[in-house]
Amino acid sequence: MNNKEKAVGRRMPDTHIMTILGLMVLVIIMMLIFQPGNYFTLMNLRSMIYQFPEYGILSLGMMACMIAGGIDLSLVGIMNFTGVLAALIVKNMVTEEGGMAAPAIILAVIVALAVGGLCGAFNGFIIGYFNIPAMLVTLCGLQLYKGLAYGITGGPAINGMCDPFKEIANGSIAGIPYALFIFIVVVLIVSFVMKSTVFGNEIYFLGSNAQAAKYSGINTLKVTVMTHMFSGILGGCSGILITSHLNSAKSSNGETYTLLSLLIVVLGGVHPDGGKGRVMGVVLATILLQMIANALGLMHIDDNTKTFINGCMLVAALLLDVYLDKRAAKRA
Amino acid sequence: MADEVFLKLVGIKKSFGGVHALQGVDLEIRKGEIHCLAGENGCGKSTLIKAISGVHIPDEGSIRIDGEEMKNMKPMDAINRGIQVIYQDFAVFPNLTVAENIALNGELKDGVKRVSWRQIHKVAAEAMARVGVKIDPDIRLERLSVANKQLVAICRAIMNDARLLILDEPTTALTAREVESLWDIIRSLKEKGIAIMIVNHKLDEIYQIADRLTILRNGSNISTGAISEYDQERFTKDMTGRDIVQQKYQPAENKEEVLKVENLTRQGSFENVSFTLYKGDVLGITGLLGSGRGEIGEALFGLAPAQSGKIWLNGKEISIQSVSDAIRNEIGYVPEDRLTQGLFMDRSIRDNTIAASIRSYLKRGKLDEREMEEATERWIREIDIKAPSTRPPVRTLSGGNAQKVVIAKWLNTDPKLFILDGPTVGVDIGAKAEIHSILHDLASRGIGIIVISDDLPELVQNCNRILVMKDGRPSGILDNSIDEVSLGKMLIGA
Repeated sequence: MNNKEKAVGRRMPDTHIMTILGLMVLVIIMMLIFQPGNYFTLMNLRSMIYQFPEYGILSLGMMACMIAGGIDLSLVGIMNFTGVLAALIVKNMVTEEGGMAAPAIILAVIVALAVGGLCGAFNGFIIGYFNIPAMLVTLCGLQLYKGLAYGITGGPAINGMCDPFKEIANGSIAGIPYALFIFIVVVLIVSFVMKSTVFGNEIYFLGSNAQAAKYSGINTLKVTVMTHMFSGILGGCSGILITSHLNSAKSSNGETYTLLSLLIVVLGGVHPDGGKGRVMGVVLATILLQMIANALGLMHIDDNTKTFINGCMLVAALLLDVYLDKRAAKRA
Repeated sequence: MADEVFLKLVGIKKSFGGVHALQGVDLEIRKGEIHCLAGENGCGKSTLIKAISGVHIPDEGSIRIDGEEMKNMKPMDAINRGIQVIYQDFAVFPNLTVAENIALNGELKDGVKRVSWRQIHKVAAEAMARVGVKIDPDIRLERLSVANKQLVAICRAIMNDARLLILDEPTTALTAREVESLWDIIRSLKEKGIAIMIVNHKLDEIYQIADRLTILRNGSNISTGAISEYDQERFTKDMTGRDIVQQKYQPAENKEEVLKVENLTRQGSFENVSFTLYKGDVLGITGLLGSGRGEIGEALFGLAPAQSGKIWLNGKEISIQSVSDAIRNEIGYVPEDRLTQGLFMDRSIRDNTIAASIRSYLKRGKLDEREMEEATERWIREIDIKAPSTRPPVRTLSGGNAQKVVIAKWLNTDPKLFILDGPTVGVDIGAKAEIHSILHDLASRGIGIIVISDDLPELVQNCNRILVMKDGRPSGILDNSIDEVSLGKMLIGA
């Protein structure tokens, strides 16, 4: 059966990436027809760049957990909880005249990332130690962290942070938003972790076959905890960005991001059963989704309809996966 | 009636995208005969079964069932003409009861809209009576042993008026005693005029049961004939296309201790197991299922650690309480179930090969892809894994080659002790011999080798000492002057 092995061994172009690029072209063509004046402007491009890093980073956390064979539905909760903590720190440390801004921001960032990591590690421990499905644990986690954020704010948003804090997500240098740099740095770090570290490779092993991973001497509990911790840290990173971006922190910001990040990772080629997926696909899917959201915005489509459209796209993306699996099975 | 032909295949050809899986196979199955189909993995056995059962439509050739020429046969056509296949996983529903598993299929096929539970029990009882098995009809399938699941699958097939029952490697997961009772059932079905085709490649089992034998190799049938026409030599030659000389393994006398185990005990699994492994030794551990043979391996690898007893590896006393202890002490373990415990089926050969040794490729904070690649290429060459490159997923490999990947994974950790549970289950004769010679070579280099197996010919040929377990206790350590028949008797305590 040597011939068959050869055929499989040949590298196929990644179907998900091709699909995403195709859809991007489609969006561009549609907008050329309907909104050429509004869509293809520098200002619109910049407004897009300000938005996607916060959920793009969430999606990377989702990706890591899904490759490990799980899921992280608590990311938005972690994002808001850490965002509230960061806002609280900045609000209380920075004086009226804007003194102490730098140390306050540094502390806020450290606390957000650390607490995000802790929340994730907690999820991971419950999942790995008690063997409860990640779907359930992180869904509870979502409510738990949301509840904590609500407990701190008592309901109303924390507003009016100092200007330097707002600059993180809203500032730019030479017309390029800082947020884009942050996103690129995070993407590079995540790529490196997934591809070139023992931990990253163990995530793939765990997601491909948890039992074989155990029989290969991989500490599956440790990898599960670390994966969710990694995801939680990324959630904390998003917490800083969204709080700065909106200049406001509360328990219910960005609630559509859970569905959105799921859509992004599935569209980006992360397999819902785990073990498969690449950072590149997720990044491209993030950009595509921003292009679509922006296009819909320009066509004055409201948020509920957008969520509905996202839901439809998620179903379509899942069906695409099923189809690709079937086709691959037929070839083998 | 015995000579009436039920199924006749002539010149069956089937290709998948340039791969010629079947290149003109002839096969004739007579009513009421037990026909064995043997061949190495990848010889086209599965494709042939799928052609017979209508899953694949052959590109060329003709299929005649009971004299009727079949064109473009669909699975339903095959079922309606009485062809029933029992695959290795039995395709039973673990969450349903025995009665439901046996009867529901038929009910659904008849288009019944409402299910009568009394009817289901009646049908199931009838089927079990016909096959001659007794299982509680209300027990859920997942609680049954592998052997009983298989019997349920057979009952279901009989319920659907099987006239040709095809069993795909039915004995791989059965103990010797279960195989015996399976054969009794098969013979009683034969008495009823049902044709049976069994895919198997264990010659001793084929001798026990088959009337006739067909051997496939590389998608063509090499020979077919009455079982009496075959001896071990011809069988092996027809299967592999070459002569494999079998010789008992006998290492040079050596008193250098590699592994010493004293009074190893794990409550409920095994008690007071003691043995010493000298340089060059290949130690076999055998026993019936549940005798504790597999559990000793799991204990030495820390999966289910022993509660008391001492272990010395290369003269140093070690304690193994977890898998990481075992890894730290450079112990490798090939688990019994290759597919679920040994391999990452969707990952590449390379990923599988470095899975247990990935830490050693960390160079200045970064994994060295090139070195991982080179290590994999080296193992592909060294233990002759048949693969075009390091890239294809393990799923695309045959059983023997996949098992070699599991072995490569551990060899790449440079183990001092290597434990293999059922190392050649589902592996064809050619690859089997290659795996054995790899193990002998490792043993001669001073690596402790333990082979846990219920394949008695394998043990007698390849281990120079054999530990026999019975009900959790060692019932003796033998050298390999014993023959497999007396070893078999010892297992069941006769």
